[in-house]
Amino acid sequence: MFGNSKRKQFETQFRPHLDAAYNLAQYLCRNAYDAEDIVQEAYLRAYRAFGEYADENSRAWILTITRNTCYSWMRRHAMSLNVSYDRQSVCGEVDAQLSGSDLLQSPEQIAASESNQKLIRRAIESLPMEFREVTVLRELEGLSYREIGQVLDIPEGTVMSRLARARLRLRKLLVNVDALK
Amino acid sequence: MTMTCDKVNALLSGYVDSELTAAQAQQIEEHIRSCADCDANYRELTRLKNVIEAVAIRTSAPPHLAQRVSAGLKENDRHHASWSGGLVKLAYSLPALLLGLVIGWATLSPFNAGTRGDELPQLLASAHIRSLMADHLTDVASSDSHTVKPWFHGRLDFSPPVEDLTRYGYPLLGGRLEYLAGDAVAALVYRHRQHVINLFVSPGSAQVVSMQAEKYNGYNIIRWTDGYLSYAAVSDLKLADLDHFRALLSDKGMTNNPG
Ligand SMILES: [Zn+2]
Repeated sequence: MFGNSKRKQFETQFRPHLDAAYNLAQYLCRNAYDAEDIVQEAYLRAYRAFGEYADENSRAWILTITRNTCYSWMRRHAMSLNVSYDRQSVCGEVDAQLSGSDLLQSPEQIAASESNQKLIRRAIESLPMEFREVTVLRELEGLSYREIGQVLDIPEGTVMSRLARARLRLRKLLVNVDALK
Repeated sequence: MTMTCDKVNALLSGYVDSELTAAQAQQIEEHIRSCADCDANYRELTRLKNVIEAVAIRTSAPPHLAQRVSAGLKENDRHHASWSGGLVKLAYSLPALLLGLVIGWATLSPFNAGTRGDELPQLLASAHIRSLMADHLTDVASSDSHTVKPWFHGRLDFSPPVEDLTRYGYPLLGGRLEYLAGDAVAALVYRHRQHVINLFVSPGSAQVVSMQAEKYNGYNIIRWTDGYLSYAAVSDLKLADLDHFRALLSDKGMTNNPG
């Protein structure tokens, strides 16, 4: 029987990463309710494998499991992994909303605008899965290339080239934000 | 020797992330000092990074999620303590069902909580009949699981899994809140041909995975639990069809038993 102490140890170690796991799940499945279920399942899976766990990077490990759980969840629920938002409509939305915000100057001011927050979030959500996950892990969670490589099971060089392509797409989507400088 | 623009472009992302070797970084710096195009790219990239950082669009986990996860782990420990793989396999085989065997540990089924075991089939059957008669089949009528599932959010303190089984011949009609012996449970409504199926879901704390089939007033009832939630499917469908429905739900992962 599992002791209380194992559970306590697990919770102490992994509870601090709950936000990161939830944030990743939410960006990947793009649904707050599913993200909760996914995180719960991921933590359960992690807990069950906890005995075999020897790595010292618990954040990368729980994010790896969360990401894998997302993929199996989406497959199981017949959610398409690759359908991105209609690019045209995202661009249109971004264009339309930005035209009224010409006076914005600094990143802080851009950030201060709630609609810009929404736009940038939506731009990231509109990226295809492979670019979305690398963006979230780097820009939102601040993982190193090495950690990202671990989570996505790809070499660090691939992390860099994927991030570069993801950023190129984001720049195109957010071209008007950039033009404000 | 200086890097080509292509090479710089390939490394620029790594440069703004400070992920290059010192030697690489130095070469990039040298290059962008004398190349306006690459310098512009570098500035744009930096700006994009700053903007995304500044908007801080990270979503924190809702406060109840930590509790949910915690409860799930606790449940796992309890469940694991009395788990028996062999019995589970037996319990899920249809032939055993058709023999009319009552399998599992009925007294431990969470659907029995607060209710005597012999009252439950009656409660389930009457809830099913009520839903058919009173024009109150669904509170939320939708075949979209992504509409039905969130509807329960805030109405129940657990989250019932809602599966779309349309392509298997069991379209989802919607969901409603149901009270069984005073407890709020989720009722998910499916249809198979002209038969309505009520799937009742309640939070479970089963000690063991169990399943049983019974008949009440002509209605077939299959009850099971996955260790987290308890389910009861009620319908005038043939038992074999109802068990097929049950098996589909299990396959879709409702029985939360990875591995
Ligand atoms: Zn150049």
